Amino acid sequence: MNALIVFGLAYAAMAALALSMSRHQEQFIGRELAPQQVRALRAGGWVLLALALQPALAAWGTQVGIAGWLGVLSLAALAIGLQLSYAPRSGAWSVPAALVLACALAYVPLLMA
Amino acid sequence: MRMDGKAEGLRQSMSWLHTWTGILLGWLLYAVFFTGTLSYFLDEINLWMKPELHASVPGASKEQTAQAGLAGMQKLAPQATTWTLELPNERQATIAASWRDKDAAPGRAGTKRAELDANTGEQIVPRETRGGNFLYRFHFELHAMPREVGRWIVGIATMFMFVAIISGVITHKKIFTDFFTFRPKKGQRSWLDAHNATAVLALPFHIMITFSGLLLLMGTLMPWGADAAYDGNGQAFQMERRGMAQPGAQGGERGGREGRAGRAGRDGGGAGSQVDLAAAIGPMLATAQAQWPQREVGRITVNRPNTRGATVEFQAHGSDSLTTRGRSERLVFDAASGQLKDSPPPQEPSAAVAVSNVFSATHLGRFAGPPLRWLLFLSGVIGTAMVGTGLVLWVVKRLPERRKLGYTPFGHRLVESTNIAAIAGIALATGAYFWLNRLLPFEMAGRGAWEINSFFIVWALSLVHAVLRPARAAWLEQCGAAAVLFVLLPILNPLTGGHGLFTSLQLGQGAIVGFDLAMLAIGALFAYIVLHMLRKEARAKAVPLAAPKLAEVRP
Repeated sequence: MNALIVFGLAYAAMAALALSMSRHQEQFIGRELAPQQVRALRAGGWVLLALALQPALAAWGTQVGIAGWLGVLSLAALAIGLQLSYAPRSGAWSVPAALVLACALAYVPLLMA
Repeated sequence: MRMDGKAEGLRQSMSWLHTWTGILLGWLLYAVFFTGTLSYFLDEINLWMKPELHASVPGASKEQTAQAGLAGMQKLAPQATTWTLELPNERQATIAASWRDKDAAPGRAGTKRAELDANTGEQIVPRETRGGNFLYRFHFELHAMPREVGRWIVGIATMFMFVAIISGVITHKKIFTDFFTFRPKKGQRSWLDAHNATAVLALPFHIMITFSGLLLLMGTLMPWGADAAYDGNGQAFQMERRGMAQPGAQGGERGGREGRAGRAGRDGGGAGSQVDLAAAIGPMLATAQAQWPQREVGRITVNRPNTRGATVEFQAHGSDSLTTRGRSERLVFDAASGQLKDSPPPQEPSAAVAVSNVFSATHLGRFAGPPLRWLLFLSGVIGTAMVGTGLVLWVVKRLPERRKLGYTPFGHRLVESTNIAAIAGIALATGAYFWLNRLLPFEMAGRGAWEINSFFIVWALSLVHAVLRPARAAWLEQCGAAAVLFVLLPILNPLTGGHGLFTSLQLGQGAIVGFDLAMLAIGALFAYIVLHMLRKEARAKAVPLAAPKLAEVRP
């Protein structure tokens, strides 16, 4: 469960970071973004990466959490890389879907608590 | 190495270093990564390779399983000084029992083992096999050579892996711009991208696994410090490092723990009468379970069974702490009264030991539940792919040179053939190892050794085949053969005494289901490689050499 939340956040973070690079803007959305948008994406990406650490720590404790977080980051970056080469436009729905899923999974237990 | 004698830049010299350490040790490192990655599922492989154990399905309650185990031990070794029962879990079907007789030799040599049916407690004698332990051992001490020599070779390769990682990072021109970049269908460019992506994206894993690999081999590579401080008494050093009491009293970790527990039993002895363990175990188990709501009881140790001073010790299954290397809390009960006697806290390791444990436990995946185990496994797959793409890249990069020369230099052909045997061949050998595990007769003398021999025979044959056949054909045929071997394993499984997918799914035996599905996945991967190569060939034929001709016309 938490592994999915970590992955969803890391995946969205990696997508934002990729989208902040001009080469991938062409692939993902077919046009270049304005400098402010690039800055916002970059900041957003780093914030999401940091946020993804929290559920990892909650699920696995400090030590395993950090190791697991790094591992999930690798997989998420790999997923974005593969998607960029084989199905670049699919990011338009897969990234929001991952974010929504991660937020929902994080939110539901709060309702039940 | 520049021919014109000019000073070369840091990047060129690092590129040279990376290329040549990579190709010289890459084949060995590929085998280490391949077998090491499989070892994350050591228990699952062991279970699959002993199909006699598949029939062991635990009953409804933990109490019933514990009673079955105790009854089995009563039959097997009523005179033993300790019984240890590892209860079945998601990765283990049977009760793994071990015991020590009164006059047993110290250390592991004195410990006897048996597999008990989780439902009936009857002993099951599985076929003789080294199972996944062969692959696991191979990945850090190779085979058919003194253990120390194998560890030295792997240790040196690991050090060069470190060199390759650092020189690779320096050589990489655009580590950040190319972070997410993979350009398929572009020949050399694609191989380089794949090599870069698998290396950079999983860099934390690569550094962790290499560094911790060195730490785990530290005792072999640099024994002098410990030798000097402990007068060459390696056992004493290990005991003290692991925080064990009274170094030298007992050999090995297991022996030490049991020895200490045995003393605890003696202290409390003398009260009450002969104990009916089968009746007493239930309430004790319930108390222990209440102490660990998050975790299951993993191990039951009975000290001095069939005496009045018998004690029962429970240990939780798994642990979330990396610093203690997955060692968990214990609860000791007085068997006669059923009262909790002692709950020794897990020892806090010193800072140096804790750091070493964090790395080695992450390497070993000892702590890992299913999500983390899969994460480590996938990272291992990425690492294997990194080494593999690097090996292929060496050959692909030299194809233009070959075309220019008009012939294939011996060195190029040598690397090409060895690559095929290192990458496709080891998969083929592993497939054959699993097949012969099921096909060799149960009673055959030395069958465990023959399984391993067949692994190396098939591996050697794959090298011969790669030398004799043209490279493309050799890749196609070996990958094709590997695909067939792996895809058929789940069918071979029920035909040779194991639980096939239908049965194992119904009984919820996740470890067996997982192995069969993994074999299907590996088979599918090799089938995909074959199809990909055939499609590429078809495309190349459809457009007969249009591009090169165009290039020739140009002035």
